[in-house]
Parts: sequence; C-alpha cells; structure tokens
Amino acid sequence: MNPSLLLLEFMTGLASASSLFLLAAGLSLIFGALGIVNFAHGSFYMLGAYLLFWMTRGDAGSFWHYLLLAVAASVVIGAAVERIFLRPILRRPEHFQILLTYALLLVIADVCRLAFGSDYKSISMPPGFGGPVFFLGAPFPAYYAGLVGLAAVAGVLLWLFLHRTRYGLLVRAVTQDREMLEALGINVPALFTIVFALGIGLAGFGGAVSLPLQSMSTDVAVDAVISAFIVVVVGGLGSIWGALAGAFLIGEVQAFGALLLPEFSIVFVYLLMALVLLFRPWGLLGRAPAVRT
Amino acid sequence: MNRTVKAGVASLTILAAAASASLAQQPPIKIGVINVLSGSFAAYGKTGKQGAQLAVEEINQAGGLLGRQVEIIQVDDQAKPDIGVQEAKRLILNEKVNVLLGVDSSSVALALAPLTNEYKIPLVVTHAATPALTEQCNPYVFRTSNNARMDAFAAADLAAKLPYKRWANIGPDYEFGHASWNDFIARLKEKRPDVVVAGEQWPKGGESNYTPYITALMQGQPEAVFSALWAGDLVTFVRQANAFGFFKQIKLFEDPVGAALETIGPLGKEAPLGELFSTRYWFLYPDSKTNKAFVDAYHKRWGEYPSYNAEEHYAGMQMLAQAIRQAKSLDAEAIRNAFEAGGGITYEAPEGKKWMRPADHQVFENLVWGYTASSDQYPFVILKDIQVIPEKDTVYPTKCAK
Amino acid sequence: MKVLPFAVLLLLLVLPWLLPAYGVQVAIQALVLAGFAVSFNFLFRNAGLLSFGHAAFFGAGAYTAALLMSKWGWNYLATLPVVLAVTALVALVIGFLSVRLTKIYFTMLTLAFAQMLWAVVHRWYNFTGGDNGITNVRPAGLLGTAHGLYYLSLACLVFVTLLLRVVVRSPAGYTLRAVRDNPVRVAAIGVSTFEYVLAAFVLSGTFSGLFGFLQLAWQRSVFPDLLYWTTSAQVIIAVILGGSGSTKWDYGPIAGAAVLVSAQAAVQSRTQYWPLALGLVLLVLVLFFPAGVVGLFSRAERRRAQEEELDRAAA
Repeated sequence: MNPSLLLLEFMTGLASASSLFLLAAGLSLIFGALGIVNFAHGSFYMLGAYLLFWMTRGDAGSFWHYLLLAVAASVVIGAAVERIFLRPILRRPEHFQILLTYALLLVIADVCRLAFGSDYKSISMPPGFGGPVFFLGAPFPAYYAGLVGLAAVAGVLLWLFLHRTRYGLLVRAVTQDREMLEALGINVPALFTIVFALGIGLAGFGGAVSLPLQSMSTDVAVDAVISAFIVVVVGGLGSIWGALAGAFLIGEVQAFGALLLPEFSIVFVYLLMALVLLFRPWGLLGRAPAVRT
Repeated sequence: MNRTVKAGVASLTILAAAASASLAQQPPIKIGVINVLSGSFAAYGKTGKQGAQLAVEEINQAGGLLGRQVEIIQVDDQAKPDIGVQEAKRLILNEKVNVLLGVDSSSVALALAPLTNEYKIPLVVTHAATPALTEQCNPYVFRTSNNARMDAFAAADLAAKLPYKRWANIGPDYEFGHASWNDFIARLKEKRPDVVVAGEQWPKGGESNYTPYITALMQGQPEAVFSALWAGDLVTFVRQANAFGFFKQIKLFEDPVGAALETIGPLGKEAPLGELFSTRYWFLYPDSKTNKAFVDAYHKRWGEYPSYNAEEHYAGMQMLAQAIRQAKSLDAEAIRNAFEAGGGITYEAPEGKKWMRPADHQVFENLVWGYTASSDQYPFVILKDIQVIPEKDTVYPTKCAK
Repeated sequence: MKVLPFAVLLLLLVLPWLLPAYGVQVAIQALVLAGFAVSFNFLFRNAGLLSFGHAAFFGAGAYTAALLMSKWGWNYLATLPVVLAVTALVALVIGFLSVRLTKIYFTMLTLAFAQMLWAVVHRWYNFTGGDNGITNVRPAGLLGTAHGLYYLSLACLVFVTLLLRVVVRSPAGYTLRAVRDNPVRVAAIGVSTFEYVLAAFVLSGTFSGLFGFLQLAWQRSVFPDLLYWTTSAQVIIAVILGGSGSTKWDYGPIAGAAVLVSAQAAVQSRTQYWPLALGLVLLVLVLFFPAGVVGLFSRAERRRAQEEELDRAAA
C-alpha cells in the first residue's frame, strides 16, 4: 500500500473525526458542567442543519452568510431550552434528566418534521469548495479539508475560552466543585445556561456544516446522538480532550476498518465502546473512577 | 281513487323510497392502506399514499366497485413490524376493512403475512421488495410490484453486455442490500465468468458518513460499481462521493432504484450523469396513452410527477379493483381465484403490462433502465438511452405449487 | 386499600369479555409491557441501576422461542424452560461485566452490550433471518387465540409480580437495598455486594425474557428491532410514567405500561406525530408529576418523590 493511499485513508478518518468532535465536544462539556447526559444533543445538531437550510432556501451561494446566523440561532434556542426545561430538574435523579432530554429529542425532531416536511433536505457544496485538494498526489475533497480546518479552529477557540478567559475558568471550576463555586457567590445557574448554550452551539455548528454532506431527515437526530455517546464514552465523559481523542480514534478505526475488514464494520464501534467500558470505564481521558467498591 | 288504492300506492311509494335509500346507503368498501409516513422513508410513503388515493378517486368517479363507493383508511406503520401488526389488527378488527394494500417496508410485509391467513383478508403489496415474501406461498398475499430479485437479474443482464470485468459493491447493510448483490453477482458470473469482485462495502442503513467506505472502495480500483443504496442513503452517498470525484474515477455506477424521483429530486444538479439507473417505473416511459393520462392526472392532482411508488400503488389498487370486479365479491378466496384465473391476471398499467404468476402471486413485467442525463425541461436528471429488460428475462423458478 | 389489588385482578380477569376484539389485542400488549416493566423496575428500584440494555433480554427470550419453534418445530410452551435458561445466561454474562460499574457508566455499558447483540442478530441472517426476521410462528391450540394468550400473559404478570414482591420483602431484598444505599458499609460487614447485585440483574433479565416470549406469541414474528435500544427506552418510559415507587403491588410500572400502550394505540391511529405527543407528555410528566401516574392518585407517592428529591439536593 503506497504512502499517498495511506495518507488518504488517514485524512478520511480525520474528516469523520471532525464532525464527530463537533458533536461530542458539546455533549462532553454539558455533562462535565451540568452532570446531564443530553439525549437531545442530536436534535440540536439536526436543528442547526435545518435552520441553515431554511435560511439559505437551499441555495449554496449564501451558505457562508448564514452559517454563523444559524449557529447563533441554535445558541439562543439552546439557552432558552436550558432555562425553561433543564433548570428545574438539575437536582432531580438522573433518570428524570435522561427522560427529559429524551423527551426534548422527540419534540424537537418532530417539530422540525412538522415545520419542514419529511423529504430529504440537503444543499450543494458552497462555491469554491467543489473540487479536490491534493495531499501527496492523492485527491481529497476541499470541503472535507475545510471541515477538518473548521473543527480544528473550533477546538482551538474552545480551548482558549476554557483556559484563557475568566468565564472559561468558571466553567472548568464548576465541573469540579459546584458547591464551592456557589459558596463563592458565583451565579451558577446562569453559568449553566451559558455552558449548555455553548455546547448546543457546537452541535448546531456541526449540523450546519454537515448540510452539504448529508441528507437531513428527523432520523438524523437519533443517529447523531448515538454517535456522540460512543465518542464520549470512549474518550471520557466530561473531557474535551477526551472528545478529541475519542473522535480521532473512532474516525480512524472506521476508515481503516472499512479498508481492512469491511465485513465487520457494524460491530467494530460497539466492540470498541464495550472494551473501553470494561477496562477504563471512565473513558480513555476521563476523570472520576466509577467502579463500585 | 278509493281508499284501498290510495293505501296501496302510498305503501308502494314508501317501499320504493326505503329500497332506494338503502341502496344509496350501501356501506363503502374499505381498503386499509399501510405506508411508512414517518422517519427517513416517509417521502416514499407519501407518494405511495398519493398514488393509491388517485386510483380510488378514479374508481369512485367511474361508479365505484360492485356498486359501492371505495374508502381508504390510511395508516402509518413507522417501518416497525410490531406497529404494523398492531395497526393492521386495528384495521381488520375495528375498522373492518375488506382488503389491506401498500406496505413499503419488507419486514412489516413479512410480519403482516400471517394475519392474512388468520383473518382471511387479502394483502396486496405494492412496494416491499424482498423475494422471501412471495416465496412463503401465502394464499392471500399478492405482490403487484416487482421485487428485488427481478431488479438484480435485470441489472446483471445489462452488466453482462458491458465490457467491464472488475465489479465492486456498496450496499446498505440489511437484507435488501445483501440479497440484491448476491442475486446480481451470481447471475452476472453465470453469464460472464471473467468477472472479478473488486471489493464489497456495507455501510449501515442510515449511515451519515460514507467517507471511509468511499475511499476504501476506490482503493480496490473497480471499473464498475453495483449498489442497492436508495432513499436518503443514496442522496447522502452521492453528495459525499461527488466530493471525492468517485463517479469520475469509476466507469459505471449501477443502481436498481437510483432514479426514484424521491432521490433524484433532492439531488438535482448533483446527480451523477451517464450512470445506469433504474427506478421500477420511469414516468417518461412508455410513450403510451395510458401512461400519459396517468402522469397528467397525477400531476394535476398532486402538483408533482409520479414516482415509482406512486405508480405502483396506483396500479396495485387498479389491479385489485379488476380482481374484485371479476370475482364479483370481496371474499378472500374469490379474490384469490380472480387473481389466479386464466393463467394469472393481467393488467395494462401505466408502466406497461403486468402479469401475476398464479403459483406465488408475484407480478412480472418489463423493467426499464436508462442512463442519467441532464434536462432543460426538468429540475432533475432524466433517463436517456432507455434499456428495457423483457418480462421473460426477469422470471425465476418458484417453490410454490400451483 | 387492601381491597384494591383484588378489585384490579378481578377487573383484569373479566376484561376480555368487556372489550371488543381489537381492545383485547391492545390489552395483551399492555400486559406484556407491564410484565417487562415490573421485571425492569425490580432492578431499577432495588439496586438503583438504570439499565439501558434490557431489550437484550426481552429480545433474547423472543428469539429463542422463535428459533426453536420455526427451525426445530418445538411446541410453544415447551420452549419456555429453554427461553428462561438462555435469557438467564445472557443476563449473567452481561451482568457479570456490567454491575462492577455504577450510574451512567453502568447505563452506557448495558446499552453497548445490547447494541452489540442487536448487531450480531441483524447481521447473522443465515441463522436469525436478519432484518427479515422469523415470521409465521404461532402457538398451537388455545394459546394461539387472543383470549388464551391474554390469560397466559395475565398469569405471568401476576406470578412475576408476586414472586418479586416476595424477594423484595425478604432479607435478600433488604440487603440489596442496603447495597444500593451504602455499598461501602455493606461490604464492610462482609457481604459480597457484587453477588447480590448480579443476582438481582439476572433475575430482572430472566423475567424480561419471559415477556419477550409472550411478545412472540402476540406478534407471531420476531425482528431485530426487539433488541434495539428503542425497546429499552420504551420500558424505561413505562416505568417512570407509572411511577417507579415502592408501592406494595408494583402498580407504578403496570399502570405506566397500560397508559403508554393505550395512549400509543389511540394516538397513532389519528396522527403521524406520535413522537411529538409522547415527548410533550413526558415533558409535562417530568416537570410537574415526578411521581408518575401513581402519584396522581397517591399522596404517599408524591411525598416519597419529594423526599427523594430533597435527599439528593442535600447529598
């Protein structure tokens, strides 16, 4: 196998990893700060895509104009959802939180179906990204290369936010010790709203940039959240680096798995998830041990 | 007139009025139409429903069936077998339908088949394509649309005439994908022993990321690729494959249900050109009066062109009506005899002649394929260079006895 | 209130004669889900573990019976011992690997295992039929009729409810709840917490398989989607909808299952937006009625739910 083909496979894995990262980073962030497993995450991914489709009216020419607007809309909706539905149940047992976010998944997905119809929504590649770029002579789609770049930028911005700003410091603090922060007089509920909105923004962004690549329908929401779960379970719930590591690992496993053992693609990922859970239940880069003593 | 005569006339009048009132109030014939109306295949359920409704409207306008109006009770099975079974039982037990029709999902169709025996009610399948359904030899299950094996055989016959030796596959990882490929490659290898399999990829149904499969497939360097990808999966795959220049690298892409309007519609200008697609019914073929009338009527009624699922539901409903008229009854056994009579019922559908084999109740017909080409007239690609596989080449032996 | 369980039982006994034919079909579905919910709730309530993979046991039960009947011509009832044995084995394997973990990690692992089983069954169509499933499987004789199946399902529900009630009130049950509340303390007095939780897991899973066995008789077919996580989600919803509680007779899961099945049958015959309807109901439930359907009727339940919330806030 020659190096340019290997590089192509590797880049393919990176492309998969990029969209997985955007999905999983938000989920991980929300779990880390609020302690909630956000089942509805996938429907926000889908919502971002639908919003962009609606704003551009399916015309790829205005893709870039509306991308940030679609993401901003997702952020606002995310904040509203957190304030109205999640804040009351933050102190309830886990199963209520799971049920609530599952209910939100159903509602948001079906509202989109009501509003936008059930036919497949998609959009052409934005102008300028139709052709390939070349790595060691192997052609790789420019849009996918762009996606890798966008995900990298989002990751860097996220890191900068968390490690170089005051709000980021507060967010990191609340994942470690919520009560202490409250004792220090920080408005923790407002902080939660910000974190949730941020996570949703990432999901919405992931969905919007996937619009030229995928036909959106309401089933996409469920598929997206399962993929996100697998990534955070492998990488570590609550850790952004974990989301990155998990996305990368799964992306590359899928790429090389399809090449080497195409018969077993469907089982691979669940097997990986189970192995990680058996030997490192808190994920590769996760924190608190969760083993029963 | 004297009193006796008056009384006689009065009672006769009342009798006549009562008789005509009861005739006018004859209960309608109820047909339960079962489709996938939610989830990722909802676009197909919608067109199927529309086709069935158009047929019933035409039947009713022409005076109904057996002197009665026909009424549709529409149901969403959500592509789930347990929901399908539950809703079918509701249709049979509560709504008291006379016939069940439709069914897009193969697993729902298989789950419903036993009910036809238990409740002695006919099921006319107009979409679900697993060959296993008719191989079960159920007396009251009828399929008026072609199945996946016929499509695969037609694909293989066309492939055998082409100069390509290295064939690969990318199909959805469920029974339909596997059975289509197995039937295709077995038949192709029979006709062309020099054919070599250059790779198989099996993304899961509903996959959102085909990139690993696309690059792996391209690494195998096939000349031609067969695919049973359809619906949203095909739309997603084409978009991503376009990004990799997939269709430029391989010489031919062959897909038995690729040209469905539900997929080439959303794809628009992104659909690959010069690829070999079929769609079970292509609205621009044949150029017959029946077809033109149907396309016009459908377009007038629904504001869009009829996809294959619309036409199959329409034709299935009309075939059922024909059988009922012949049987002069709604009894399942009588309808069965009507479908099987005279070597099997035949019907001139918009797509051409349909013939139902009496042994397994599977309809056979000519299958239409073509090469995709852009069009000024339509916002989607159309099929040019039409290739018709004659009905006799799609027939396979059945284990059902006559 | 002592008379209530007998009144409910009496009603359930005469129900098939009061309902139309379709109503009996829905009632059987409700009984099957109710039994599944009771089995699930045993683990959830007493061990404090939220399993998202119970579909694996429900489906394993259904598939075992379907395979024996269709491939080797077994009689329906004769498959029951094998069904229970196979499901217990599956529960033992999955439980052995999963109960070491707690909370969300336990939930994720059970989900992963159930999905793996689904993937294997889906792919292995030479044996399981893949997504073409195994169809046309009908119990012979009385159990092949709606009334016969109804009474069998009712009998199973009553049996499982009573048996689990006995276990819950036994010393083993108390120990299990002690493990739930304070595992360190229980381990300190020398009790193997792992064994107790595993036993509870296997018991819960095995009975889930029993109701999968009944589902097969109703549906007359099995498909891989019985093993998919949406089946696990459905039983969780039924339990929480009804109110997981600690009521004497496990009304909560039974009520929840009955309400869910009836609502689904009623709503989906009228609209294709059942997920929206279900989602809205769940939202209202979680936000305003955390004690579930049972909480609507029982003040004790509402109070218990409130106390639970305060406990968590203090913790």
